[in-house]
Amino acid sequence: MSGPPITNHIRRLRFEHDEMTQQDLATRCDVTRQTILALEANRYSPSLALAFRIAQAFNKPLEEVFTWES
Amino acid sequence: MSNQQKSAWYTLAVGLLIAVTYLTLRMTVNGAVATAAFALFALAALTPSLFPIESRDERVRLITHRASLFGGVASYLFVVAICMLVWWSRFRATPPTVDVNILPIIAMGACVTLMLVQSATVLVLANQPLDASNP
Repeated sequence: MSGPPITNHIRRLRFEHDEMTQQDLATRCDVTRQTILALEANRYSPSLALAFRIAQAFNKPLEEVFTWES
Repeated sequence: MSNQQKSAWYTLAVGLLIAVTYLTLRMTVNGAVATAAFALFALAALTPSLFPIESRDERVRLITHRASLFGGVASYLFVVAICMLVWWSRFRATPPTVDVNILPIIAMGACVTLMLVQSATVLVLANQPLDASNP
């Protein structure tokens, strides 16, 4: 099964934000650490609401966090 | 490992334990005593306490939804298959009757099937690519 066509830069952004842990980000976005893990491994394509929450956690626009691979 | 995966492993173990215990008792003692194996379902009631699942997480909800779907379909197919098997094996008998005691066995078997398939599906989906926009 191929992965979703949306990639992200969550791991890089976490390290750029004072080396935020996966658990920290998960708590801020109201998800589990396993969901953040799946996102970083490109095994999960989030809903729009979660994508916006993650972008808000990094204080970045959505396009800087997620990339659509056509 | 997430609580959802731990819960799935636990439920899978309980389901297998019930199935193995029932079959063992049925082969070694008799069918009436074998139904005592279904008391082990009580172990499954501990699952929410032992492994509380974070239901607010959308990925967890997605996996739970798909696993419930697969479990329900498997359980339904089990009931259909068993009923057809019973009919096929008994309709030529004289008289063509079916023991009423088989009904709770079918119901419990469907529950075990639901547990096993649902748990296995959770464990498989936890490592598969998922898309929230395609539930």
